[in-house]
Amino acid sequence: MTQRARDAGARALREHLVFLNDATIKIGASLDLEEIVRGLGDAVVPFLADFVAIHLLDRLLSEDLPGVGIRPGQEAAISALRRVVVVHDDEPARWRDTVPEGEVQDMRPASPGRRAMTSRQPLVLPRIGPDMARALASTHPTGDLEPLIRGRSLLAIPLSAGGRVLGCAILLRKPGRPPFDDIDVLTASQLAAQATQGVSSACLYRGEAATANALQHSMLPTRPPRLAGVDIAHRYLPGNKTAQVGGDWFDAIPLPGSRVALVVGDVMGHGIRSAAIMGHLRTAVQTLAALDLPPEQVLRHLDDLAQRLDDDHLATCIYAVYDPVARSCVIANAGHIPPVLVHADGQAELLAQLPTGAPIGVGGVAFEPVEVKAADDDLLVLCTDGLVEMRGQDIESGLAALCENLAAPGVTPDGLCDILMRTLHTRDREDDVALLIARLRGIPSADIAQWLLDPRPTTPRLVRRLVRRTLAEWGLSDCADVTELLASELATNAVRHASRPIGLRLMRTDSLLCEVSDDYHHLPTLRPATDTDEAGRGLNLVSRLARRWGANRTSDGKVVWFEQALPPGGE
Amino acid sequence: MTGEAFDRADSDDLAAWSGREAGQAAAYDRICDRYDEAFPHKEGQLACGEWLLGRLPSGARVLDVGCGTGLPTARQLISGGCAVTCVDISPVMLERARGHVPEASFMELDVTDLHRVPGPYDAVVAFFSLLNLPRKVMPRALGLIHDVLAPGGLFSLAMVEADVDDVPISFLGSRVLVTGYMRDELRSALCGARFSVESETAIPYAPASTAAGPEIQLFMNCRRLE
Repeated sequence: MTQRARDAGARALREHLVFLNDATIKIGASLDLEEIVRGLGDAVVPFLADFVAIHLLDRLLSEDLPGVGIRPGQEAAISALRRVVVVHDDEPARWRDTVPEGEVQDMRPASPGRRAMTSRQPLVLPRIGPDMARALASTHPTGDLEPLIRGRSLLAIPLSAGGRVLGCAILLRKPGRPPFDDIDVLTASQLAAQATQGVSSACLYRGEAATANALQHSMLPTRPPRLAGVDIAHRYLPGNKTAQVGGDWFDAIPLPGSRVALVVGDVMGHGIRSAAIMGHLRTAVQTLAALDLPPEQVLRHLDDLAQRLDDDHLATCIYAVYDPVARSCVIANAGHIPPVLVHADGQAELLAQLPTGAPIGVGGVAFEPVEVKAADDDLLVLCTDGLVEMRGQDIESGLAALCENLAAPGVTPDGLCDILMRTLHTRDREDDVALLIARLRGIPSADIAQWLLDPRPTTPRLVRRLVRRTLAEWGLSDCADVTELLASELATNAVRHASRPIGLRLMRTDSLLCEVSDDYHHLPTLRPATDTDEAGRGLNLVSRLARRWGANRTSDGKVVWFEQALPPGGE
Repeated sequence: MTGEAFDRADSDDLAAWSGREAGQAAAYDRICDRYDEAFPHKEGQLACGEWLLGRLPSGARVLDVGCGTGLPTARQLISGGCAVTCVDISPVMLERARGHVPEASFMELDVTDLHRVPGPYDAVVAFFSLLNLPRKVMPRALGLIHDVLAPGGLFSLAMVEADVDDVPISFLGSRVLVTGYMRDELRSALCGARFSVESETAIPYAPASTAAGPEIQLFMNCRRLE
């Protein structure tokens, strides 16, 4: 071998190694399935081939059934393949109509790609002669393939990992270049193996993300509750595709007295585990809310629970109780970003005076509630940091951008959710986002009547009188008979056990609400009344005649309530 | 009418009463800072002031029983040309009232000691103050108010409609004892104390705080009968 020939050989080897190195970097640059195969395509053209089409099993790409390749012996199941990536160095339009990206096709068993996948061996056609070109083109679904492939050299590489076939790559060389040789086959196989490994991981990753996503969605409310005195809209969005689902959650929980607890939380970390812990915490918050505990105590109990779960997961949480009668919110914070109160004139006020508190799971730090006045039609905005955190920016500027976008007077909570999602939840957001917006409408005091009544045998009679008088004032005498009856039944039950004054409250919103509260903590249960049973009758009547009824604990006892539809035409 | 609040004015009762009123006063001392904020929009109370001012001569002497912070009533009456004497059991409230209406005169006094005020007055106002008395003391208190009024004098009062007698409630975070009447009972009590009720209103009211519940406020404008 001459010196020149040796030099040429060394140069070729060096070029080959540089190519391999660059190709490896391109292929390994991403965790996203499509980006990985595009990396493979970009790597092989033009050094190894003039054209490459990479096909993956279509079901790998479906959101529902991720991560399943074809095992040995099941090759018959290879059916729909999606041409994910096409790379070539011809003029851009040359292949576009005949082999479009994204097309799903059934590969014939005799096709080179299908044969490579079935045998799990690379397959070389050194030159595609006119007959073969015609044969291959005859089963091709789009355009005329024949002039594109005639005279070219073809290499079909199976994409398989761990014994499972995921797809194939078809490489072509122009007639002027030498056919694919053994070194080319080895090189292409090596790169394909790397890419396949990446695709396989991406599929598993997608699978876990899909599971966590499904778990997350199953644990979040789908539709906001309809409540008097407050309109609620909410959104949840997972992070972008390469990131996994997080542990964000939100809730709107009705409380006695037409109050509502508004909750947004964020379990730190991502994946199934965070989603599961979110489920724990959300359930716990619901349970604690049902006890009508003040916000700071809800967070205190939640913190205790998180520590008992013996988990190193932390969570941040805002718990706010809106009282539409007092027109006031009592808010406690466990390390969460502050809420925003948007006033009716569109001015957005970051509630920065709310003590930040420590995240749930830290323990030993007191949560300090703050009472915030809410004028009618103010908006309370709770969100997670995914909405305000952007790479390379501090959280303050994110919060400022949030406030800026909230300055849109007259927009409904739902419309505002859309605006925020559109403007702030941009593609490069990695974290998931939970957003809850409540329009605090208030309930006019003229629509409420409330009394404190000493428990006496005569109290039920007094209750009837008060109900009749009030409904007459409200122009609702049409439903006075039933309301009187049911209210006096509840009062009868309350008087039996109460040691302190009972409360009677009537409220007129889009329905008529009647609440009777007392200091006896036992919640009543509905049971069939027998002929001689006096005590059980009241609730049976209530459950039969009221549109809805219920019993809730309060901080100093319980409240039993029922709701009736307003009579048609009643204002 | 003697000054004593009790039929059996023995020393035990008096000691118990003093202790009770000290507790009530201390509660209002604590509540003072939050009171006006939690109870804005006192249109009903202001309307009573207007009712009085429309009937009183300039320079009329008015006694404000349980003046609280002096707002809005003592302020309104002073501005309307009345000479106002403010009475309250809470020294902190009185201090606040002094700041709001320095033109008034002030006495730290329990309502059962009203015989010590320098009557007679052309009018007495008692807005949400008599609700701190037990029912058994109410006739006495109304009698004392009757006594300090000049013949034909006017009396405006506000109560919360309820059917309770001297029960402890949590009020803006403090424990206070309260009493309430249904409106017809209150009317009867006033008639029994020789007042004629000339006008009355009932106003549903929601305090601007979650530390106090909604209520129905009763306002009655009366005249002393002889």
